[in-house]
Amino acid sequence: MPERLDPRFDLSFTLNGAPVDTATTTSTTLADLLRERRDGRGTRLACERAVCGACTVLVDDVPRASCSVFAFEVEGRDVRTVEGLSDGGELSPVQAAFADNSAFQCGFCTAGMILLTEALLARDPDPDNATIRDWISSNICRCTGYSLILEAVRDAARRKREAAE
Amino acid sequence: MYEVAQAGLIAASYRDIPPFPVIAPESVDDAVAAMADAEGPVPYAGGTDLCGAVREGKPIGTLVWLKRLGELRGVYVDGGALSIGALTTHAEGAVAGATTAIPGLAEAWSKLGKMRIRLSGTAGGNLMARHTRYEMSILLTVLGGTAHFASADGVAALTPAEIWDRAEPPRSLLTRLSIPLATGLRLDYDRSLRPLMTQALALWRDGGGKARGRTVIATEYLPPVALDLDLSGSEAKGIAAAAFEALPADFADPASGNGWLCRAGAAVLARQLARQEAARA
Repeated sequence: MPERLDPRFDLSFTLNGAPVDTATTTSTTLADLLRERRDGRGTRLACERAVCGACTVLVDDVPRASCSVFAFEVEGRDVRTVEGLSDGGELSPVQAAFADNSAFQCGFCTAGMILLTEALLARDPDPDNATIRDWISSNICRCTGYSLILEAVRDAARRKREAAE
Repeated sequence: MYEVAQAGLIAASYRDIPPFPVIAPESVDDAVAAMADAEGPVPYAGGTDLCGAVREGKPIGTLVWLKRLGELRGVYVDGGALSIGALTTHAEGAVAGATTAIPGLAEAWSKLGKMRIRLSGTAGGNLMARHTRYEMSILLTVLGGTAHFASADGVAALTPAEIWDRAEPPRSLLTRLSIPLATGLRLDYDRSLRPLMTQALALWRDGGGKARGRTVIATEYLPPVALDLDLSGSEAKGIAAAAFEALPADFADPASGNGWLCRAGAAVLARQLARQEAARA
């Protein structure tokens, strides 16, 4: 990114492994930029205050509330959304664990929860319960009471460890 | 002290926010120059609060994006003080080796925000957001720290209370927090009654070897108030009760009356004092 950016500018970044070049404005949030793309509706918008985490995406593997990140910040960076997790139509281990453990009800928080879990397991492949609770409490789920999500995270960790062996 | 917030505010979509120029300086000197010269400069660090503030009407003339200022990240001991770079994230600060210079600080810092926020939220942003529910102001107040601002006119050090009063120099940039490392300084942080109240205790010895202490109480709606402790007594409950006799009579909010805060605050403080005494023994 240059030292000065005009209000309207061309943005280049990587989205789920593919290069993106698009014209946008400096006041556009990352969430809105993603959702304006046909392939970016998995990023949910709820509180728009970086509190609920429904809009969580990974920017260089760091979970960020995309409602509160200006899009210009991802210039040259790697952005991953829930659309980028499956491989050829096959769910990722975290996605599969959430599905198999019924770790959702309305599903509005699920994409953010899954990406948060991806970030956690990238840092700690075998997190203890306290660590899982600490991370998952970053995002809000109003349906499940979290217990099924906690089970899904534990299951996802096990699946990822087994896949790595 | 509590003031009812202005009602009727409706948050805007980003579509209602006019685009603005962005400056991304690569040094503090360049950032200070940008703050001095740009039209309506607004510093932007971790990116956890500003978007929401903008939607609620905060104007941006020019956004000064601080991400490249690596020199403002990190915690280190410098000249008898703990120095915390303004861009240090909560996740970084809680595990920084130098943070252990004040026993209790790392544990307290690790409690600020949830992990997603801790990975990007910064010490400086937490302070400058001036949200009463945010906690860096409580920690800095109880530890007797100051916040250092750089501007084209020089450097200024402000107490957290002065920041609440918006006394920082115009067009200045928060660069670091500084906490003097008094002899034996240690921290006890109690969040067990959040969101009703949060309480911190600092204990140290002055130049003459005398035991000194300070407690700070804050609520969801009220900025921190500091109370000095008279530690000449030996009984924790008595010390705590005496300290809270000095709590300002108007320190109250819609959730917690002054009487309750005095009583609960004294109880928490007595527990903190006992906990520290047990740890010392």
